[in-house]
Amino acid sequence: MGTPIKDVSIPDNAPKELLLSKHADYIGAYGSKKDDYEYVMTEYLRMNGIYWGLTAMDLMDELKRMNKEEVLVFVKQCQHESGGISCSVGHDPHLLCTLSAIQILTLYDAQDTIDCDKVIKWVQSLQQDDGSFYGDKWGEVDTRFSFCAVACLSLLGKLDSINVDKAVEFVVSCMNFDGGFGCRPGSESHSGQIYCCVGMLAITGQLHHINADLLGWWLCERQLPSGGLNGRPEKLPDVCYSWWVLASLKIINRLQWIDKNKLIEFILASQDEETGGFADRPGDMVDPFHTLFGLAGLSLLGNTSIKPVNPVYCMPEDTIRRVGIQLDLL
Amino acid sequence: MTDGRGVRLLTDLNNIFKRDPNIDEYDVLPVIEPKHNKSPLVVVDHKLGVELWCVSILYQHAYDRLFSWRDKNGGGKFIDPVEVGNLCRAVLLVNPECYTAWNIRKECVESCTLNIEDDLKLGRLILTKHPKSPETFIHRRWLLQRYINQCLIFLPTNQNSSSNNTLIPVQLNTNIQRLVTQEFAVCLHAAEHYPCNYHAWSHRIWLIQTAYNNSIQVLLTELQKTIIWFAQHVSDHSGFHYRQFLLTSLMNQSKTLLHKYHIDINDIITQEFDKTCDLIACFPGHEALWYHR
Repeated sequence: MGTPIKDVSIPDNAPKELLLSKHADYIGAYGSKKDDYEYVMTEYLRMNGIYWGLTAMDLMDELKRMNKEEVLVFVKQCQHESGGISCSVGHDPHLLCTLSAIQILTLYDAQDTIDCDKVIKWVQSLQQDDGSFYGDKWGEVDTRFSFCAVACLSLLGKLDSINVDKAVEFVVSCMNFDGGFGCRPGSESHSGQIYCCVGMLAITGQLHHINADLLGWWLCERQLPSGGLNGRPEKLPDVCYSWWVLASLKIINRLQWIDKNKLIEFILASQDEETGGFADRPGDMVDPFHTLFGLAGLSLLGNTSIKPVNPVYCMPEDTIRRVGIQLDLL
Repeated sequence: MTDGRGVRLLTDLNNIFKRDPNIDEYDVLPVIEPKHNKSPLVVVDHKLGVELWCVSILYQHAYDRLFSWRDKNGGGKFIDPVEVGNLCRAVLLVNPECYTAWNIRKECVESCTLNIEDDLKLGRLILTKHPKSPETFIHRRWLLQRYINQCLIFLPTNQNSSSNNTLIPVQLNTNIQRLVTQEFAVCLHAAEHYPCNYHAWSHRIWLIQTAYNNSIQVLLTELQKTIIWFAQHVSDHSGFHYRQFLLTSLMNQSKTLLHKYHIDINDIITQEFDKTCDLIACFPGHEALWYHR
């Protein structure tokens, strides 16, 4: 007797069509209840949340519905003396929110809202001798920060302001025997970290370091019978991991190794027909984070009612082209 | 905007920690509205229970007070450093991902208004409720690194000269030894309470690399120590990765292993392979075991 596979089953009455206008309404209304306990609890993610919401709206070609002025004023308020940007006013700067802020400004074609030279100097200051990046001045090292740093600088057109060779060397040192990547040398492979490392190598033009067949195999093994993808072996499927795995497969040109139709079915089933938005898996509560990754995933899988998404930056392809970035994927 | 109940709850919480600095576990009690006149914070045998209805009130109060102080920092209203630490504690118990609150505690450590061991204790408590909290582990790494660096400064120079800023076991003074042993227990507890706990296992790897510089003796001990755990957790891919890390680190030092310890790395690998095959036979259908194989 085998052990049941950790997976979910999709109910018969789960949504099968894409509910675009519902999602636009959901994101459009999100954040209007600012005294909400939930709103205060998630303030440490505010900048990321705005990026998720705006990118989702832009992919649906509904960015005009959002309050641009309010967003730009907020981003400006979050830049610190050091140059770094925080998740919200009164919080501390961090690379994770700084990337979100730059992505937001790029969507709006408004990078000059903040002092970009200062951002560049700050990112530069976080690089270490071994090529790795601190997330902020307190010194935590993680390959996610390597991705944030190069994504940020490339969107600002200043990738050459850091030691790119060293940065690549560090990321490559985090590669494991299964072809995947972890947060630091010796750490376990993880789909989220793989996405960051593969994206980092794509931005720096160093994808040849990847063993695409080996990594592609590990990644496509993430698909479960329900069609959804998990982040690591023996974990439940999740819409956000579906995006990270899918985007990584796209970058290394192994997208055809998974069953696309089953994955589309899984992502569509994770929508909420009443409220709009996507959840991590069918039947759960929706949020802007999974809504973006649900839409982005469907875009990558060829849904033409959503704008084409760039797999590395998770932003609309037309925005990435506008800033003049042209990446060579495998 | 100040809710009188928030002030009272915070005072209650602070008093609880003052009366019992050894609270070792906490959780939310499913009480959705105040039912009696007693405090919604209950302590039994060092375990703290917080009634559900008051969590948001406590959080909002502590959070507002902490961040309005932080926002006006420099010219703003003075708050006693001990109270700043207390406000952070209240915020983090409810929401350990609020990284700025951890940073404020780092500043308290730097200005010596908070001691490292007390702060480690808070993190350990938080991990009993949030065993995979990334920010809690990140903060612990900062504290441990600082502690190790401090101890290194006080080491006699003749011992320090060859150490390259990393430690080998003989040099670990008893304080670090105690702290690291305790840290292993924290990792194991977190791994126990959340399967496939990426943060707990990568924290343990960091510990071996940072505090022990991948010492062979420690790697061998760890391999031995975790063997039963894995037989009991055959689905834990993160745990198996940890064993792969130990084996790879030993492999990288296989010559020393053979000469100094008279152990052939191939024997260790063969043993691991055989053990894994046994487990696969006993517990069919576990993907994690096959990846390990």
